[in-house]
Amino acid sequence: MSMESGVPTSSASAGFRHWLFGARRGLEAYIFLLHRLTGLILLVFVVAHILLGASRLVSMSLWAELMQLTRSPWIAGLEHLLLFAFAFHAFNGLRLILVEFGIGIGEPEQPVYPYRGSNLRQRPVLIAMMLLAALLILSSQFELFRFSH
Amino acid sequence: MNRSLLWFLSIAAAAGALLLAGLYMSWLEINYVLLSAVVLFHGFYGLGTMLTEFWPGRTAAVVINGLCVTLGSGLFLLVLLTTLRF
Repeated sequence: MSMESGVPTSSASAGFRHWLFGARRGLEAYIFLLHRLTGLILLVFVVAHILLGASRLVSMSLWAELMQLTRSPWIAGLEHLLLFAFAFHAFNGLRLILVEFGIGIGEPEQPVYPYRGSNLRQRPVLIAMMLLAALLILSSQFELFRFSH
Repeated sequence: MNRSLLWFLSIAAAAGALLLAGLYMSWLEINYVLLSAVVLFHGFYGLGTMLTEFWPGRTAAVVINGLCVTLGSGLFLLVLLTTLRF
């Protein structure tokens, strides 16, 4: 982002750079990046899911052909990855709601050296949410494994 | 048009939609349609937010949000049509 005549200006490339290299700022910035990427992955899945279902409006044979495609091992693998994206996005979203309500970030305090930012104060919430996401992923993998054998 | 009339109209529209849904859809279908609406709104609102960060400016915001609303509404219409038809 540059400043021309006091007005901040930006471009698409600056936006991408901010996304990709802003992650140098710490763990929370990586989580921010992952949250957006997993959100995009989930949106692509939802659109594909709706279009697949709506293909029945065109013809049942088209729907059957598309359903056959979804039974390939590649798609099954992608669905496993989708579960990872869902678990991460859901639990990180819960953390963001908690932060928005001011839960887990502590009370405002005087800046006394050594400074302790709110990122560090809410990190236990982040860790707890990631553990819950991991638990959901593990349990679902176990269920999927049991179901397929 | 004042705010209370808008409030009444929105409540009436919601009640009408619920009544129609109850008449033509099962409980599972209503849940599916509501979930689709929430997911599509959340997804396209998020996509619009991200894209307006990449392409700032008033015109870009109008174009991006217009596209997101159109795509989201179109997909929701597909969900409704598919659910009612099958």
